[in-house]
Amino acid sequence: MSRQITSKTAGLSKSFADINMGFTKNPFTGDISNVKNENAIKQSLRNIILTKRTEKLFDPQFGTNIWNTLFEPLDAITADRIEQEITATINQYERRITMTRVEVVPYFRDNCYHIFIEYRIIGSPLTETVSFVLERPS
Amino acid sequence: MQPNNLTALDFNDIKASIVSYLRTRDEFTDYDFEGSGLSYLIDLLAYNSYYSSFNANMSMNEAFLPSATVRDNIVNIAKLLNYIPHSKVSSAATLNVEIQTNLTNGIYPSSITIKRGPVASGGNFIWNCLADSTVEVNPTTGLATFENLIVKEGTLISFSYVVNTFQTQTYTIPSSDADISTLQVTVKPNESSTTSDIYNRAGNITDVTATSRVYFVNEGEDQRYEVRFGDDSIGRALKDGEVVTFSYLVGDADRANAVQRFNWIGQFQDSALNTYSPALARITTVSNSSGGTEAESVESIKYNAPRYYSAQYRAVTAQDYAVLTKSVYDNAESVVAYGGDTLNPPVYGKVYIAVKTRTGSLLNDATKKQIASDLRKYAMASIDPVIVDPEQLYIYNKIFIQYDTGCGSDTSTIKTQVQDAVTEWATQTAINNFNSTFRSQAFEKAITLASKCVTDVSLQTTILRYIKPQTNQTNSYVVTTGAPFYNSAPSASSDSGVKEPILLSGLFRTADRPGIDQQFEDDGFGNLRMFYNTGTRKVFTNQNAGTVNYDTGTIVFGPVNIIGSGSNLASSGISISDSITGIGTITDPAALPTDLQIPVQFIPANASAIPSATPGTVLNIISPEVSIQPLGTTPPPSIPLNSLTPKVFDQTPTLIDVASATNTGSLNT
Repeated sequence: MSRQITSKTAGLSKSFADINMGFTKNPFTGDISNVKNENAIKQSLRNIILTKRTEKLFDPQFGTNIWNTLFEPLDAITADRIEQEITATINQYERRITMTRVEVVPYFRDNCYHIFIEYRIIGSPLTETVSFVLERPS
Repeated sequence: MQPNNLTALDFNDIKASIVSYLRTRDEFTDYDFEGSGLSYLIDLLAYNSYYSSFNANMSMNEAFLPSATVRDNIVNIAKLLNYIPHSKVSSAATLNVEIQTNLTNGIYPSSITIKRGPVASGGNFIWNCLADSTVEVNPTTGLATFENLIVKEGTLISFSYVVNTFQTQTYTIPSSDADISTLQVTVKPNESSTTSDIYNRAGNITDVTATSRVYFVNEGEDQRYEVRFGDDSIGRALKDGEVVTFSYLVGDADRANAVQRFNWIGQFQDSALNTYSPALARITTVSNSSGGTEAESVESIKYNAPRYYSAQYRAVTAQDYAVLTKSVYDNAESVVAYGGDTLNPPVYGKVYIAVKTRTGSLLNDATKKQIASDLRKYAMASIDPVIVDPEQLYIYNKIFIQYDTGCGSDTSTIKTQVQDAVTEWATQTAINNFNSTFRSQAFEKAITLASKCVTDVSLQTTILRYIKPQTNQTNSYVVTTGAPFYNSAPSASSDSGVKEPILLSGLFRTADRPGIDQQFEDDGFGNLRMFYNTGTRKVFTNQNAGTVNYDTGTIVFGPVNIIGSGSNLASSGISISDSITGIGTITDPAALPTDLQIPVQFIPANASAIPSATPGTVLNIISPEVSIQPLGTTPPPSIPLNSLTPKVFDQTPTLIDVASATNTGSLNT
């Protein structure tokens, strides 16, 4: 019988922690709650992708330009541009993972893109995914 | 552990300092400080610290005169030193205006007046009279002549404030382009009043009483000047309801300089109240427009304010005179002052002030007298200030460059780069000014660095001075360079041997030979010889035309009677009896030309460092002649014996254009 492998059992070479960007309160400690390991990395990925270029102080190249592409035609070409943008940015700014696949799918009915990112955390055999919807702010 | 590197001013250093501190805290074990949410918070902290440290650094810098950069702050510090930076100054021209008046009841009017306001146009500018000007009319001819009428460029603006003593009122001149030297302040008791008092500008408070009608000026924010009035203790205070009117020119400063032609547009009114059309006026330009300058730059304020403070409204040391001259005469670009006791022979009781104007022109006698009289009230008793023209010493360089033919630039590109480098060198070394020294090593280095293709540089350096003879007067003229002349053959003596001349003059004509161009040169043994050329032969006309002192670098030319120089020759008024030797006589002295100048070119003993001859000497660098040869060509000798070319300097040569340092002190520059 196969046993499901989680990051806990896989034994990461290093653990990761970060504050929760929702700034929620930890009910036990009363301190700000934090996120750990794969969740910390997922949060970081989302941060990097959704940060607009020039938004981060003194690091104008940090982030992506995908917000601008949301005003382009919703088609495969734009989707490809988003994909390339995400790949290049993640490779540069998130050194803790190795990206294996990025998929950007245009959804014409909802006027948005679905983004799937598949990656492996360096030092761990697990493949993680993060997915979110990218749509034009109304 | 405490945060380290507290002196960090850079954003990344501050961030690294915060990160290194947090890494030591147990609460942040395993936290990633780069892509994580925490990094955003650290960025904010670092940005805040950066902002605060920049603010602290900037505000401390701005508190001191040497380090301040923003004009308003520099002006405020200068204010504590009682220094008022000069505003933009409008250009001024002098005109003669003639008008024929009409008979009224058979007689001509007794006088005629030009009203204050715009009176002339010229060079796309409007020129104004700043005060009514009245002259008497010739009762026989009816002609009236306004001589030396000064017109200033700009637009006359009038601006009023109603005094309200219930609030703190600031009387600001609303334009930053106002020429404060033209400001007229009048105060009338109320808005309907037709009479007004004229208020004068007070320089200091020693002669101001409680009832003096005076105002004080200082520069406020954004180069807008503020006018302040007295407090009934020092100067009369303004009363509620009074109306203050400022009248001043707003002009184009230096852009309106050098206008030569003017058209009259002003009205005339004679004593019989007849008016005359502007078209009836005949105007002649006495002096072209000059003196327009931009507002004082921050560099200038930083330089002048402490010196002005040290002068303390009195002239004791020579430098006090120099500083005060700049404050009484805005058109002075640089000023040097020296006591008469330092001269040879000494002149006691006088201080000499040499003024270099912004326009480069010499001061006329009226301006010199005006400056001297303005200075006299600051002077110690019995010390007499004398304004003199700066003496001009010209340095002429021929530059010989060898270049690497394989490095990818052509000769014209290299030439342009060399000329740019020479201009840059001149700006950096602030040459073309008093108290400067020409150093050939720095000059050569600047040329070498001009282009990577330049491999070798050699120079031929000569000195040029002008003799300015009085037409048809027998005089001796002394010219000094302040440094020894080159000795072409040290072992030769006057009994045996020959020396090559090391100085040569330009062309001139004398009263005894008005028909032929002559020159003079030295014989190498201390004598000047005059000669003329017939084809390939020199014919000496005077073997003792003057003396040369090679050790002190002084020549004495004369006694000689000069009547022409270069191409400035008499076309009539002379009678030539022998066209070959040029011998003749002067028949009409009035027809002889004036403003003569004879260039004299010397070879200095030491061309590596040439200082100003006297404190009042301006060193001028003539635009050099550049010749470019491929690598391997032998350069010519560095001592240009027998190849002096003073004839090309009959007209005052073009100098290297040294850009003045301008800095408005804006944060955006």
